[in-house]
Amino acid sequence: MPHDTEARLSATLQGIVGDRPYAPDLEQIESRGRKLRHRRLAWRATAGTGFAAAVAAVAVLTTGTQAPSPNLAAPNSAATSATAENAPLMHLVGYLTTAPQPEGDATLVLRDQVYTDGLKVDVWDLFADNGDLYFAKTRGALPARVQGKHAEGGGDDEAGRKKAVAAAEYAAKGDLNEARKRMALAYVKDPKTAPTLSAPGVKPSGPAIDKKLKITGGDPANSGNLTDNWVWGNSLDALKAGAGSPTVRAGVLRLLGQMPDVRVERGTVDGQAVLTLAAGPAISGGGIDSLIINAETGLPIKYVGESVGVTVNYTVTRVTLADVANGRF
Amino acid sequence: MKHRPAGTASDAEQDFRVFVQGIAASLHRTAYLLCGDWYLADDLVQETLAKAYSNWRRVQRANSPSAYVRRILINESRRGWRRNRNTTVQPDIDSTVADMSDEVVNRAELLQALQSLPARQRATVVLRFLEGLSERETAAALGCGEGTVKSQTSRALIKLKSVLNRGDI
Repeated sequence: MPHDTEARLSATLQGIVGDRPYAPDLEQIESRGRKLRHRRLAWRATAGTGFAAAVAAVAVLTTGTQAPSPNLAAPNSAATSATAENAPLMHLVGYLTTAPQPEGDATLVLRDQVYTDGLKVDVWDLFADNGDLYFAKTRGALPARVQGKHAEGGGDDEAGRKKAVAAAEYAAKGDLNEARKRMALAYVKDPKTAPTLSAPGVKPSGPAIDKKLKITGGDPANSGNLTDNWVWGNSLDALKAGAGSPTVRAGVLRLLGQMPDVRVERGTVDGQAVLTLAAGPAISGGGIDSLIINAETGLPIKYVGESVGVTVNYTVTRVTLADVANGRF
Repeated sequence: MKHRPAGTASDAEQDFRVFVQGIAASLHRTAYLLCGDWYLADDLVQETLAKAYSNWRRVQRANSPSAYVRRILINESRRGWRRNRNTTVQPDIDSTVADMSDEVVNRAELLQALQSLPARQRATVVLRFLEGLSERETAAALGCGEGTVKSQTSRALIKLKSVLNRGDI
């Protein structure tokens, strides 16, 4: 095809579109975008790592019993009391890194989600230990998903989720810098074009950032660390998918614990000792996003996402795929 | 806990708005050539940007955020096209430019010829020859290989050649 034909095509197309002014309706775009995000978070099994990844859990039950699974239970209280005041998170990590892997071959997670507009949505995620994910909007629909082997198929979300879980497992005992890199880039498809990563808590600076802040009117105090944001979001994904694994929980807590903008506080929820990990605007992109975990097991209890406008309570159960397929869970 | 004052955009929102400022006009032009209707183009861009907003962190993490959002636009335009398969969108070339001059008529012909192309060929032509994207950038926006872009471009140009080579546009 002669070059002049291409040039003529280009010129003609430019002539067709002309110089028509266009101003997008930002308010409407953002309003619609928020609705789309809420809908996706409500119904999709793989909530991804966008503005939020919601995690929480309340109870861990073994199949067919109401008793806590021994291999997911907390260390004894005597063992926890010595150093818990000063470094509760690291003490918990210490326990989890030596805890045995749980029974069963899958973790069942009920997400009880409540949005700021009052919408309440419960969904079920079944994370098989082999990485498969089965999703259902009702408990009753889950057996058929497993029987038919209707795992949520492929795609970037699945690949990213598996990488995030692997990064958390690595973080449990491996080099934390390398683990942070792996977690931050879990959803990046091509490592060759991966963005430059920042150390925990380091705020972006330099002329380019100053120029951007001048344009946007952004608050330098809230200037975000994008790597921290990715590590936070992807870690919550990993914690959700690997909630049944003490190794994953340990790795996630190590990664979150090294970020200065994540504050850790003790507390109680429904009588159980908890730790609240609160990520400020520099990480969340707006508002405080909090993850509440059981102080003795590291199991997630609740996620409160101001940046997303959602609160999620989780119930985590270790199960076997065979039992779920047969409706015994 | 510190809360963001009401009405103050977060950094992420500010980033999004700066991004929109930079890409909206280009998306709008592209949308128009994909669908042939300015009003539909308005809707397409609004929906595309809403989807980008709802996935903003992922967009930011993409190798090329612009390519990511263009792909959303193209997918949306194809969804719209499928919805309107039984309706014909008449290209609305601005008749105030020149009253039925050859130039306007033939621009309309080219636009109609463009609309008759398969969706991927049409998108390839628009990205390559309106937006001036390279084959690599076009491949990224379409989610295909550079070889596919070359073949799609070649096929599209063959179909458009008769309109282009009349010499009066």
